[in-house]
Amino acid sequence: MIRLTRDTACINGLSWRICIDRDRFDLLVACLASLNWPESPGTEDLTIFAVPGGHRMLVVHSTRRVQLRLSYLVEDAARPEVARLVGHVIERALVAHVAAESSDARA
Amino acid sequence: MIDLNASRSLLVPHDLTFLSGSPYVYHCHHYNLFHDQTVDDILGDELGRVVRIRAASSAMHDLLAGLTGASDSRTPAERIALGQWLVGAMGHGRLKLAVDASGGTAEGSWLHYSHSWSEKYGARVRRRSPVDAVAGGFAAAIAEVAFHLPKGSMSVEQTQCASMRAPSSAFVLRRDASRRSPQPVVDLMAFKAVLDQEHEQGQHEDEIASIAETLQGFMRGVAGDERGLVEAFGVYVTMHLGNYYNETAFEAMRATEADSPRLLSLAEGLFREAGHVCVFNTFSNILLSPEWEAINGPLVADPMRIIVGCLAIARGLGFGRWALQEYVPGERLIISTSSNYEAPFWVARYGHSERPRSFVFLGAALAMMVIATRMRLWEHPVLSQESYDALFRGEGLGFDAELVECQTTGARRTTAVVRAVR
Repeated sequence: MIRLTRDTACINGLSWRICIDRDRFDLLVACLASLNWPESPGTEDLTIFAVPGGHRMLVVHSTRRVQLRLSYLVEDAARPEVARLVGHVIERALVAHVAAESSDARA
Repeated sequence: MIDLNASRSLLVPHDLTFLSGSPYVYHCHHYNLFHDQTVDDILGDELGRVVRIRAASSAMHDLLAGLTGASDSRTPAERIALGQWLVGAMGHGRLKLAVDASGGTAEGSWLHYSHSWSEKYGARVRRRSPVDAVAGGFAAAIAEVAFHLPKGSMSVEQTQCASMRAPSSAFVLRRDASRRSPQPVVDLMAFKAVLDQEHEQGQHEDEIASIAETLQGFMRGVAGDERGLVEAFGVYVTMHLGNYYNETAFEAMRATEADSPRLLSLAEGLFREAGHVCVFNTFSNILLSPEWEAINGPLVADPMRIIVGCLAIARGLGFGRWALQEYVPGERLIISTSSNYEAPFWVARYGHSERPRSFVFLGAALAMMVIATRMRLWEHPVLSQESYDALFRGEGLGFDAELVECQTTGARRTTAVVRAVR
């Protein structure tokens, strides 16, 4: 459901963009909230989640942009894999969320 | 340690920023590395390093002496602790000093210059000379202030550098009574004495001022992490001392004027390019950041929006009150300022000049035109050395730029005109 691409940044491989179809953005936000990752101070339009491992997830609601910022402690070579693993956690949460919604709908 | 924000001041209405009376601005690692390399290219590695260490030491001495007076640091150990903390808070990395009044050693880890050099070039280039002159100068200043020594009385030598694949950076400090006294300080009072109370008004003024104010507020919350580095907007950012940039750049230009006047335009061109590097990397990364998007909405395909954003960023980073006088799409851009951070320093230290000297401002104006009209930032391009080279070092920029007036010559304001080249 999500696609992971490198986001604009000069520091190698730390910023990743999480893309999802526009009509599923609200679902993604609900999933992120359900993961119980602590929120850091942001702004009215910007939610920042602290992701386990020292990473951060930034969500700009008005533009539906989601950026994963990896911790600097992740070695250069491991950054794509760590980004993929965080993406996998989100993907699984999305699938579970969709499944739960379908189940609710059937009930 | 202390509340740094309590020591900040904004020179209204000029959008120039000061910390305990010392001028400061924010610059990213791309700019910092380019600036230092430019000084060394002009002066040579050896003299360049001496000038950079002296400028960093002098600027930090003023700042730390001011902050020490405002804090409760009464013993040498407390003043050393304050200095070490300050270096990290400003995003320059970690310094650990073991010194007395006669000298000693300092060890640096995660230092801004060597760490970012390694990150940017380390996989492609083997460095053969140390890069942490700023941290070395800061260490000397901390030792001087800690033991109430005269400014410039501690010499420093970098004995190992993380950019040269050492595990950390290391410095040896020695008391050196023979060192000549540094030049007089250029501080808030000196800026006030040089600048008019009149300030520049331009087009889209309300919007630029509003965004700049938001950005200034955002930057007040930016501080070094546990490494003493500031990682923001996809770059390493430093809160840096304007006196360092100005003293090193202008001493390099003055040496060129004295020794090789025919090369002066080449030296000025390099400092103009430093403005390109700044706008391409720092300004573009800010414009493309989620934080910017959350404050100002997404970038739209309109060069005017990029130019307005750039002028607000310049003010937000403490570069001065840059104002838009004219933009003719793809043809002409005129930016003026009653207060950049370069010209007041020149006038305060050297008096009026026959030449314009605000080359970072000039280069930044040109680069704003280039990124607004040729970069299509709204399509989120990759920012890389390759894309920089393609835009700024390829077949031609497509634009030329000129300082048609400059406060260093006694003019009331500084104005850069950027024109399309056919």
